Amino acid sequence: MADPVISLEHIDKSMGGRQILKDVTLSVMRGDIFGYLGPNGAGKTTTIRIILGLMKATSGTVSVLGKDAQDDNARRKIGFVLEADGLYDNMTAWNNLLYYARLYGVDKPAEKIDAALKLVGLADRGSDKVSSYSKGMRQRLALARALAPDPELLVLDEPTAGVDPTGQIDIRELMLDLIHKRGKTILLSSHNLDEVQRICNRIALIHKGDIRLYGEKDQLQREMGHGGVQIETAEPVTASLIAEIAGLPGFKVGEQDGNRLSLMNSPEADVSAVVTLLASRGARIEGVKKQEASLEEMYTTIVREAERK
Amino acid sequence: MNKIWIIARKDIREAFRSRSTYVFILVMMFVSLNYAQAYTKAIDSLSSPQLVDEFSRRFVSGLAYILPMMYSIFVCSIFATYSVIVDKAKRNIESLMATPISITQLWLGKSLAVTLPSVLVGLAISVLAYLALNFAFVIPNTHAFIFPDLLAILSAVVIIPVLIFAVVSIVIFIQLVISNPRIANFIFTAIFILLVVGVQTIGGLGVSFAFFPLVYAAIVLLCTVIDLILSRTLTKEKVLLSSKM
Repeated sequence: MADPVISLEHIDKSMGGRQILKDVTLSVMRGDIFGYLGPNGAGKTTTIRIILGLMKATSGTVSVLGKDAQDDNARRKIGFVLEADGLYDNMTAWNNLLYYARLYGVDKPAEKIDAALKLVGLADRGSDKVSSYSKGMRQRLALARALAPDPELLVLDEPTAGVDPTGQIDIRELMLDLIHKRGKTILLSSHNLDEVQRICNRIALIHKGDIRLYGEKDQLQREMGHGGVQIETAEPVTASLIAEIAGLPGFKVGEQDGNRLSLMNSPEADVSAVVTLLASRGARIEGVKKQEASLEEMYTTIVREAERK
Repeated sequence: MNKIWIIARKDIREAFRSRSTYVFILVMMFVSLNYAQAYTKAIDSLSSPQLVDEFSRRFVSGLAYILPMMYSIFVCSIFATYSVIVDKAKRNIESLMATPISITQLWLGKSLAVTLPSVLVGLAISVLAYLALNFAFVIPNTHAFIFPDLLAILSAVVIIPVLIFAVVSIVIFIQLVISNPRIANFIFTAIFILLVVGVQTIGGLGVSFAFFPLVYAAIVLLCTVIDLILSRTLTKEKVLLSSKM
């Protein structure tokens, strides 16, 4: 099993008499693209600030790359993109990167800056002042700044916010490339569920300071799914056949959308019985797909449930 | 030290890029004319060349103790409006603190960014003002160039820079931890007023201006103690929570 790059154990954080984080425990493993989800004010930014040593947890332990998060040296191997990009408008893109590279003590910074700018597609705009950059370009530059010190861990807070769709795809591909080809680990805080769905392997959902969902994304989707199947046939299944299926043990008939029929089944129900029944009645089966909950469904279910409490 | 200098160097460059810095420096040089006016007005009332000579020595050598401090503090109030204030307003301070630097390095870097140019510019204007006063007003009246005392030179190049750094550190600390960092700059104004009042009091009492370095040294001690106490209370969280979020 991979070692944890970030480990939060029983973290509480109170500010001004308000509890922001409540017993937060989670780990980000080496090689993860870890999606950190939650509505505004849920505690995502506070968690990131604790990880980056900008805030101290009221109680609990925080370890980043095997060191205490408050240890300034721990951040040598952490690149970040925060909500406020932290770029200096009056300086050129290249000089912005140079400034931060020096603070990281980067060896041969010029080479690394050029490579980082190339990686985010800004190689030809390095000598431009940041004030002339669009929001999307600023985000890409902030990403280049995070990459220039060649960090092991990237902490990215909404890295695609304000970026046009093509740019978003580029950044997503870059993140995947960083994981698969360069061995990085990414903590991605995002509101973009589609983005998290596409690229993250593990997720945590925080709401009102509580971790409500945490683990392998695929497994969570299976667990939170309807526990059902979708059967696609050449012709729509007839009402009488649907009634027969409903009579099979462990099955409930869900929606019928043209040629697609959704069924909810208990774990012990035998899906092959449905397939056999349909085949015996002359229905031509074109596909059987296990249905999983989408991230959006999981998110809205959990957040709404928590709101009701 | 390296990281402190990296922070300071960037801020110094930014400050010198601003036109308002040069406007303020020009205003400062213009203010120097006040001393010339005060000098000529005073010697007009003196009857003998001996009295003129005596007054000139006391007045001009006295200025050597005051000018570097006065100008440096004044320039500080200009440079201190960059650095932390801009970083907080533009929300760059969070990213800066997320790099592998300690809060003390950030504090010292920002303090150095204000101190270094202020002392250099303050000293340069003082030298120019001193030379101009000598050549344009003193030499025509006394036929001699009045050199500053050795103690005044020592005070200008050693005690005053240290004093400015100690005071600036307090101002930068306040800028870092309060939500309206511009308020901290009132300290420079207060020191400037204290200095003017002090000069007038000493002039009125007839006490030697050589007394000033002693006062400066006492303030250095006091500010250093305050800085040491403050350094124990400064955290990144305090800075973050006082910043625009």
